[in-house]
Amino acid sequence: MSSEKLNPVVRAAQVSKVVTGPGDGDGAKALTILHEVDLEIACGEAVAIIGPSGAGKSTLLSLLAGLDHPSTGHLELAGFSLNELDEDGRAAVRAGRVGFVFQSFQLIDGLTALENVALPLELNGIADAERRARAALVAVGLADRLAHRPRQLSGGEQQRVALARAFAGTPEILFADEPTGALDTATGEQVIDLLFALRDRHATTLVLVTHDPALAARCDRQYEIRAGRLRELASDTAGTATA
Amino acid sequence: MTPIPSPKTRPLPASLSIAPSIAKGRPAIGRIAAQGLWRELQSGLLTTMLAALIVAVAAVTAVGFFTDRVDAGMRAQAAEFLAADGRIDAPDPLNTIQHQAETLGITTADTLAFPTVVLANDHPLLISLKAVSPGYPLRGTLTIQRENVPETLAHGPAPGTVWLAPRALALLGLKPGDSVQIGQKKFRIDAALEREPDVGNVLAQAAPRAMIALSDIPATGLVTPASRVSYHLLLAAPPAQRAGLFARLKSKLPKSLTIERPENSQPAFKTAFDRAARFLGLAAMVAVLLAGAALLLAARHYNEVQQDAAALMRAFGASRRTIGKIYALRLLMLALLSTIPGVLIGVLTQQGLAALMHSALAVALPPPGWTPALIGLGIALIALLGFALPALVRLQDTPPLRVLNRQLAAPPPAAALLFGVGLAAMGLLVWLQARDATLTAYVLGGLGASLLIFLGLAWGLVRALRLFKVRGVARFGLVRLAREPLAGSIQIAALALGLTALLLLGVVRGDLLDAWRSQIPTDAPNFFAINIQPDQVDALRGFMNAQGIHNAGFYPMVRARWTAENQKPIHLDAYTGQAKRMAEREFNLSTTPTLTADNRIVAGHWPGVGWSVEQGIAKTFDWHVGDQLTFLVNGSPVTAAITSIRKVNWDSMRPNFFVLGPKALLARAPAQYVTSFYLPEPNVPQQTALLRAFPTLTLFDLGRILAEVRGLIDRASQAVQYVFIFTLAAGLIVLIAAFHASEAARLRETAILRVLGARRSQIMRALWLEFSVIGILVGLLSALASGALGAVLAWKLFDLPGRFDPTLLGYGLAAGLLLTLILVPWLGARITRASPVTALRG
Repeated sequence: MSSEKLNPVVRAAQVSKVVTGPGDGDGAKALTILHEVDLEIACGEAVAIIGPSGAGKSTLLSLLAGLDHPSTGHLELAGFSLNELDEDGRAAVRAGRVGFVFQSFQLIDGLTALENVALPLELNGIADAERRARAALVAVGLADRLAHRPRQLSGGEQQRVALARAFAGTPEILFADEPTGALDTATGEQVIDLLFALRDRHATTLVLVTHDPALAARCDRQYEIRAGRLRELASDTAGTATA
Repeated sequence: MTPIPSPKTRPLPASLSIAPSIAKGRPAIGRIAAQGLWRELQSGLLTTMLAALIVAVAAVTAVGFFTDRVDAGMRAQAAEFLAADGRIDAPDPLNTIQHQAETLGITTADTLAFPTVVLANDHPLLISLKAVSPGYPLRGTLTIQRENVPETLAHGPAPGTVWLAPRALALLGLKPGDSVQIGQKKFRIDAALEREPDVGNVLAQAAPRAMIALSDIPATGLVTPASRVSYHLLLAAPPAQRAGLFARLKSKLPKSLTIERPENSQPAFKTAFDRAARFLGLAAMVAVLLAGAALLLAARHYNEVQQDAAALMRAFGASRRTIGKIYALRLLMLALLSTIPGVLIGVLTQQGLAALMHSALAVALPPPGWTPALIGLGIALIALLGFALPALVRLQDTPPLRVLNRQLAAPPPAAALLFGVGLAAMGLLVWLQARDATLTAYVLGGLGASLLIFLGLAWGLVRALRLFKVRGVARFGLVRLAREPLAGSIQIAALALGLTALLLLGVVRGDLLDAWRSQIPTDAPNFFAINIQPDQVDALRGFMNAQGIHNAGFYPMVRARWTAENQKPIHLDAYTGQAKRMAEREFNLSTTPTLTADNRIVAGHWPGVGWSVEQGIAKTFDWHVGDQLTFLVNGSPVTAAITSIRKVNWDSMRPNFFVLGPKALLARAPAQYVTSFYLPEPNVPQQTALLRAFPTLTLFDLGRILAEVRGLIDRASQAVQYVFIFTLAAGLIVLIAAFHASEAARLRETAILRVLGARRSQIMRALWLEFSVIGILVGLLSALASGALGAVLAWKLFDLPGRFDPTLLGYGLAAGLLLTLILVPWLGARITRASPVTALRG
């Protein structure tokens, strides 16, 4: 699959992220989390970003998804320039186009599984949100857990609710941040199988952050990030990455 | 060969600083608790709780210090009503007792008083003569006037001179510098006596006052063994030794004598003083309760945050008991830590505000004692143990597996434990503040009932919200309310409690104070007239009507002596103190076809064929409806049953009687009439005209005592309002602190919504919906609760008519919505400002 031939749905050009950290007594100290990252992801691609803890994987994912804004560089998501948008504008870009799966599930405790899945659909004003949410939960095998609250579900079940929430709106892009990080191996494998099955079914672009090389290997392209610098590990596609 | 360590004894990694001590079974609980406390204070985790606690301690100690000082100031002023800290009254000289008192170290002064006649230019005038010893007054001051210049003095007249009441000067046509004859001695009038501290029983002061030095009494030749003289021994002692010294003196007194204290020396003053104390107690109590509500919420937040640390310690091998001890000790340290700044702020606040209110209070405030500081520490401990510990006690049950799965949590604290211990702590705190079991019981009962109703209604709302088919983020707003019903209900109940307190302070307080003030209206009767003969009633009524003087009606007074109860003769020896004095005295029986508003039947029925007795005297003599009372009237026994018991508002300044009887029972008894009326100042010409038209009339001028009581009420009202303003401010700070507790959860949830694509406007819409519902509910609940509590307080505690003010609903709703208007933009700005990523990571 070549991202040059298709319109990129995610594009980062010379993106850096610098934060102010604790100083050594002489005041605050600038800390570079990401250093001039270039990345293009084509529609339908599955891209894995791997790297050790603290390398900047999640920061990059946050920037690509429009959850945070870069210090320098240019970002595009689904054809929209994120640099020119405020938080509300970026939220509008995400709404209906972007799905998320987090390591810690990030479900809302007070809502049932059905309500959690229906929430993003309702945010986008989808009329049959509840029906679609129900169908999404059935698709992840949780037909008998619709009225359960997160605390009444196992970790694997909670991540499946998160998957249902992510795919219920048939997003163009799915961002997954260590989706198996809080699960045991067997449950993690089940969740990943489900994630890829859903991704294949909906032809969703996938950006996956993981520290697991085996999981990364299931993606079309793999990038490694170290000390804030990104480089492509295997390149049988036209995606570009510079260090 | 190196032995392989057994897995059971393998040491934990050195990096886990708390591990070794736990593993050895001798956990360094103190160090762990202190380290945690320090770390959490640095990280800000305990800031909300500490701030809530400091605010609580500061509010309570500031109120405590101030009310303590106001209380002491008022008591000092109250002593003016006796001109002493204590007084012994007797019909005989008290020389022996005076000697005993001085031997004990009590400062004394003595006075005597009796009615006599003063002669000026051959005009006689009945006066109430009072002779005072050097040292008089022991407390308070006298005000005299020479050549229209008022002077405040702390001593009586010089020998050979007399101070005459302005009324006496006016009636005799005299002025300072003239002379009068009292008994066998001529006195020079030195000044007009404007004010004396110990007015005494106003009704016994049948005539205007004349005051001379005690050393002049022998020269007058007026006091003989047969004279009807009342002797008064005035006592004073430093506050710290007063109670002990008076108790020792009392033990030496014959049974017939007692030490009169300022608190119960004047019925009208006593009522005012009691009410002032109750209002101040109420203000202090509200501060305590607001603090409790804030701590409850702050502790719940701390409990949620601490579960990771508790799980980690359990995973390291700490026992449940160890975890429990660590958190209990940390709370103890927090209590000590918060008390220091809390008390300091309390001291500074009360000093600043006392200075600010100094002129308005017009009470000399003594320096604060240390008791409120100790109470502050006690309150911090009780509040933490009562409100925070129950929320934290389940931390010890945090499953160690939580270190792997954060969804696992400690079971929530049992509601019964949370509320039971909280209510017990509340009771203790309220009692510590109010020192009044009745007030504590009423407030706790009211709050307990309110809390149950609040929780019940909040729960009902939670269920009802599920029926609403609202979509999107708007639904999220309502669902947020509905989830975790206990937490939601507690938050609503806490807010409603806070607003109830504020409404109680802001609105009901005004109503109560207004009602209190109106108990003695500005045109309340200020003169009593007695010795009105039956054939003078119509003429006097006509005279008053012609002069535009409104009177309170004419009541017959039939003198009678109580002789038997239920056909058994009474024995005076069976009674002591005030009961004995009342039993010895002649009763003034009266009759009236209708009861005025200052009389309320509390038992039996009105009108009846028997006696209607006043509640206080019925309690003194243990009289009940149905008891047969016999009075000797004009030499003949008159027996009837008690058919009703009345509560009398003595503040009304209208003629009122301990015993009323039907006209038929008293028809043949000789009677004189009594009335009361209002004469606006200056009223000497009207008095003179009245006495010239009706020379046999005796007038009692109540103007002075009325002014004193009104002055006290005004000052007490100011003090109460001041304390309420402070409590109000403390309440608002505590409410804001309580909201901080839910901020972290809101930040996370808002972040999720943002990640899912929610716009700021959608999040704000959800917040507006959620808080509008909260505001309306809280406003309604607090209006109803404060109205009900206010009515009960007015009725039961302040003897004021209890009524529900419907405008409270408007105030409640407005306050609830104002809360929404303030909180939503503030909360909205805080929760939407943070980046979603930061919030999710945090």
